Amino acid sequence: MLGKLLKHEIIATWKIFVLLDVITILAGGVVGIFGYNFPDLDRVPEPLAVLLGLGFAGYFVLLVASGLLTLVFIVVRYYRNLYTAQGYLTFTLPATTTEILSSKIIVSFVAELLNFLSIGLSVGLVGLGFAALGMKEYPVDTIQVLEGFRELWFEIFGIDGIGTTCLYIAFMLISILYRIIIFFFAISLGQLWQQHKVLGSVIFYFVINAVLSVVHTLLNIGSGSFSLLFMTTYDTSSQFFERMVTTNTIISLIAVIGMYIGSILITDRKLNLD
Amino acid sequence: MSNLIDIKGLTKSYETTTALFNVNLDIEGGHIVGLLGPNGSGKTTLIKILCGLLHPSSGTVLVDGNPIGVATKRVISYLPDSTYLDGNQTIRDTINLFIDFYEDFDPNRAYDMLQKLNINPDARLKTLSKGTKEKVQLILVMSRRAKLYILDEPIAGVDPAARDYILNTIISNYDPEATIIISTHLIADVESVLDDVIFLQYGQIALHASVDDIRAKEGKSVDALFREVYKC
Repeated sequence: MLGKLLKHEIIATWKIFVLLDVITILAGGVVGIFGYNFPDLDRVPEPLAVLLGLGFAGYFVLLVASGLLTLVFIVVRYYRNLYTAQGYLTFTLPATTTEILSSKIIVSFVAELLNFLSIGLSVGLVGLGFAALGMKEYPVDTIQVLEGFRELWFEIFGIDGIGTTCLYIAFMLISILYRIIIFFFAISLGQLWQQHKVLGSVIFYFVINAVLSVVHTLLNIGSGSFSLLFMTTYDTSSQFFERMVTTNTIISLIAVIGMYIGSILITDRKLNLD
Repeated sequence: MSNLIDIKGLTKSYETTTALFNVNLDIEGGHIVGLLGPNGSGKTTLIKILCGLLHPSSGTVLVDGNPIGVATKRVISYLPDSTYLDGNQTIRDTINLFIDFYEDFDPNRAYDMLQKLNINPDARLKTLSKGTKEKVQLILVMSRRAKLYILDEPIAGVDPAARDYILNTIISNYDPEATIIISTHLIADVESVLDDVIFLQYGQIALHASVDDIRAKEGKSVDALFREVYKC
């Protein structure tokens, strides 16, 4: 049943997600091409310079809107599909609650990941455009630049080799899942209220965030991540990020598992569709 | 014949009210049952518990010998009292969903009924009128070969011509071995198709009898008896 649920969840949502991601990437491409042909600002009339500034601001607004719209669409669909009249269909399908919630979480996770990557690609295209412009005017050795970046990443974040790269990728993936599942868990908790369920969900969202922030902070103090900030050895930065990312990945993973099970149990045992 | 529905000691309470109290009910297969009662009598609560949309506070509910869950959802075809399909989807998308999830769904029957009503299967549900949406929902529900059909207020809020169509669709599409539960307070319109009736009052069963028995014993129609029992 999970496969069928995934199929129909994808059919119902892919157009919106792909549209947002394509617009995001295209905007990056356009700004990148523009960046490559960027005029010398000293020779540009003031009104045009203002227009250019507005154009860049608009691009960043678009990036934020792309991320927000994807998230809002995911959360609203989850709520509507499960806890409004649409739930009459969702919860009368011959599938378990675990399968129903898992299909929503998997598709939402993939949509968020693709949106994250499309924003990254978009920014990358803009950066590429400006970098190409810079290299056109001041030719440099590309390999040397990339090597410089690699050293910088190692110095700051400690990213060097497969181990740390996997750690950071795991952190990124779990962070995406963590962000989505907080919303889903808050919506499930809101259903425990007899009335004002949406208000309940909003309040629970802020409470969960506050509690988890305190847990993250306390455990980071406990793991010694923060104390590294007060040391001044040459590799303090990379050690700090590596330890903090490891701690937060573990906490987030435990929180994700807990909220996933909690959402299933609440929906399974306390479902009350008005 | 074994019971299709077996309910014992069912109670459903909310914070300040009790919607159902100690309901005991057996329904056999092959009947058309009217679930009758005024607003707030517990009809929809009972239906939602049967469909797994509400959890009982206490008591046991078995459908086809199984507690409410995946197995019972396979055999129940449910028509809610409100529009419940995703308005952004087309009718065809929804039919495909039913094909995938319900082994007993007959798409040919669904498309046939849509064609007879001149409804375009590629229309998005949100573009349809309220009456047409209700017809589409009924078509989907009645295109299954389910053991139990539960129809919550299927004729409320539609014009008399649509009521006739809906009742004809129900009668002409149901398997004689299946049971249909029709919840309504428009008794006069459905009385002619009912085998049994259940009167709900204040969350309890006030009467469970066959329509023939009511006519023979009481000497009046179900509609007349209803008006008498629920007189304000």
